Amino acid sequence: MTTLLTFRDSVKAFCSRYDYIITPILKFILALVLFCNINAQIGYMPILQNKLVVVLLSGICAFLPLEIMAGIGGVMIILNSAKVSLDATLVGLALMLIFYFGYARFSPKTGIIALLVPLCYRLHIIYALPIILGFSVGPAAIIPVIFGVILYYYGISLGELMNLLSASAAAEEEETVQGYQYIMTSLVDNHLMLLIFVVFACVILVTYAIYRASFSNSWIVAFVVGGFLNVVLFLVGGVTSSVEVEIAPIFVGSLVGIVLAVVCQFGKGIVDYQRTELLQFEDDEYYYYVKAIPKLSVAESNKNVKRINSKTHN
Amino acid sequence: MVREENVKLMSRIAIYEKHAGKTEIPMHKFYKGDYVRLNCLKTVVSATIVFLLAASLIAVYKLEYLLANILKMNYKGMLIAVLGIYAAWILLYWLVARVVYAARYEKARSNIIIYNHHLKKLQEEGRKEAVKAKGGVVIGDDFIDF
Repeated sequence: MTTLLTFRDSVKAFCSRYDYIITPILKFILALVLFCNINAQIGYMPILQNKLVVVLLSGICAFLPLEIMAGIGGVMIILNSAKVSLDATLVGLALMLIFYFGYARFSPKTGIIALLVPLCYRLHIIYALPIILGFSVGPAAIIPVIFGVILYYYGISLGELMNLLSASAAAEEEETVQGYQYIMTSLVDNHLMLLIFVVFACVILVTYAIYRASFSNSWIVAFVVGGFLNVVLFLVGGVTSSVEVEIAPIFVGSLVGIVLAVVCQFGKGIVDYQRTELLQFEDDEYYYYVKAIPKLSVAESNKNVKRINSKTHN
Repeated sequence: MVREENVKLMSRIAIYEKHAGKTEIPMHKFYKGDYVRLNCLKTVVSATIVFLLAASLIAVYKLEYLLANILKMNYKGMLIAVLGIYAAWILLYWLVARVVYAARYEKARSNIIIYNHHLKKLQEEGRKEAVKAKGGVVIGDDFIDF
């Protein structure tokens, strides 16, 4: 355990010292993965499929805040939808605007969670997400997760619509498919999506409440209860609302969620480090270019305590 | 001449202005009540946009039904229902905004106090230097200007 803690401190010290290099690299990777995922799911616009454009956009995002990255992702989704049908784009645009004016304007940093949801679906860890978000973000993550799930199902509907449109164009049918009605019907009639909203909201709230409780080891109890609740609520919800729910992925996802949450809990201390600051300011006489490096102490692991007197004092 | 103490103070001020200060300094140009009211007003505008967008989405989705029943509909009842939902929607947003923005203002207060303290200290150092440059003497916190 001491070795692990020392390792964590070393990572923290390293991140703290080279933050100005590490953060842009991590942001670049995140943007690249998110944009590639959008292209893989709904990549209908050829210019956005171009690898150079994706790398360029990710490069720009590396030096911008996460909220701008989320905004660029949203614009990419809208542009891809425009290639399918104009009325489907209107639905997407309206949903994005509702999310922005209704929530993201007040809590812009959580906007990126909405884009992470489709990525988690692709990585098959979607059922692990509420447990991780429950303790790391809390109730503020509920709305972005719900919007992310809508975004995922919107992408699926868009794919189906694209297939239908190309099939009807190939068959030269006179009656064309109405994109707006198709997308809206597939979203409104999707009972599984509604069940996911309810379960994810409950799991996030319960995990957060237990995690913040003051009893010892509340964190591990929060993860286990969150995982258990995830499975039970999906089972109960599936039976009561007659929605077909595959229990195996939920069970595995919840287990993965608990493990990932434990790992994140261990690494949580790494994230809140004091950063190296590169500052510029001036007074009447000078321009100052200051690099402020935080003082850090890393625990030493190789301390040997030799007991030379075994007597105990009463 | 570069003074180490001043550089330290200026660095602390610059770090704050670079991060949390970006949002917290403009926030504290207002009294708490004014800040909360202003943001509640902005929130009402946002909530209205959301309501209009959602209502338009639903109206276009149900367009066929609306057109088929255009002559049979009880417009007065519908208007009352829509206005009722709108009022409840705005009230909900208003209440949440009041709580959230008041909490944000309070959270920023301690940081602003420290920031102002650093600024005052820097200003004091500057005044001391100016007195010394003129040949004066600084005793404790008092300036004796000859």
